[in-house]
Amino acid sequence: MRCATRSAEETERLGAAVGRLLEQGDVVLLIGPLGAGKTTFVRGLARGLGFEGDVTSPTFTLSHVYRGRVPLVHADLWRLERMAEIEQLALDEEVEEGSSALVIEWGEAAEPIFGGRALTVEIESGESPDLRTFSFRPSGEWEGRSTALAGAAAAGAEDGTGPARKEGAAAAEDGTGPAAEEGTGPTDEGGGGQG
Amino acid sequence: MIALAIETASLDVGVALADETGPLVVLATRAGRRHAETLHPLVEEACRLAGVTLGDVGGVAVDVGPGLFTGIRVGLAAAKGFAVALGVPLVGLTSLEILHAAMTAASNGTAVVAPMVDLRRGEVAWALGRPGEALSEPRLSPAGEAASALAALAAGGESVIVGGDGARRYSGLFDPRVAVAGPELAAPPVASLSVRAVASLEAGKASLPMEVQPVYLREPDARINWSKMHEGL
Repeated sequence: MRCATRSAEETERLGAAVGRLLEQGDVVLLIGPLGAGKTTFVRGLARGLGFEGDVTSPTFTLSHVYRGRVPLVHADLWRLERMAEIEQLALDEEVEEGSSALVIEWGEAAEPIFGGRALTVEIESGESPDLRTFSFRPSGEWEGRSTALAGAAAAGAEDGTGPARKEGAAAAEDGTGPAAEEGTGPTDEGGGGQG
Repeated sequence: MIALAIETASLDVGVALADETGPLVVLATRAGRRHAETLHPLVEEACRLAGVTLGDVGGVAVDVGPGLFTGIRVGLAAAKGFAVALGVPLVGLTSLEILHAAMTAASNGTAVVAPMVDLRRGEVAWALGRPGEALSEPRLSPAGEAASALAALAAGGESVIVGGDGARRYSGLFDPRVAVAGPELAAPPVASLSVRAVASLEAGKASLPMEVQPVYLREPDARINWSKMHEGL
């Protein structure tokens, strides 16, 4: 299942549409290079759960928790080098005992742990600087939710809220879009440029 | 010799004080994952109920796992802190050893006892204790595999009891000939830890606090297989 976004605003809206589907125990693995918009997508997930506070990349703190309709644990594995370090974060305890949902940036490193139960979202850059393609790969119980997921992808990527979309498109056209996408790496904690 | 026992390797938190006559105080509560907030008030209350101060404690004991990572870290850090501050030795027992002691006592040593701890993701840590023999080395298996191994033992005519939160979670997987211990043996009983601790301390079988290490059973030595795009930066 694939869809595309053309601005940080659209990426966040896509995230929010997926976030509205999240339940306790859900795991989302995000894969994509620096600047792909992973943190922007996570901000959308948190908004979709009704969380309105700051959402920044936990590159150095390793994990954040956003307390919305379902607590969302936001982890970032960029800084880690060994599988044992991932195990010691005890992220499986968060989802199996802590009644949270979990989203992991640089999630490919956690595939040995969560690969069988996660929704894997791979983000790739497109031909223009702001274009991002999202590939959704459901596994485990996510496979039974593909209809809802397709609906979320459609709602997020298409024109759900007219004005926001136009602002996003305008931002992209006047060149602020690419700058806004650069904040997701570990050098700038939090993708703050995307507001 | 009064021992302070700390049990945090499951969703429960347990604290006990014991001497050579047995447990003086046993407190246990379902902490969920609020081990850090729960543990110290229980220690304080246990001392108050027993009418002792921490200065009377001659040794500390702790469950070193396997079990809940987050709980084990809280318990081990607290136990080491108490032992160092009080200048007393530390006894580390695994969750499987504690369950084994409790289950052996409950079965009067007549059955093969299999302590089994839930390690999530469909896997359990477990071991086998035959009557009169030392507990086997802990192993990590999918729950179904562990259940099959016990079913084979039971089919061979052995009396088998499985207990612990792993046994409770996967109780439906076991052969009907395998007895599943009740929920009172889900968490490693802190009373059993305290009694074993006194015996170990009296026998001089304790460790320096910094020598006691957690047993997670999941500490893969592998490097993360990062893709090229990550390594290039």
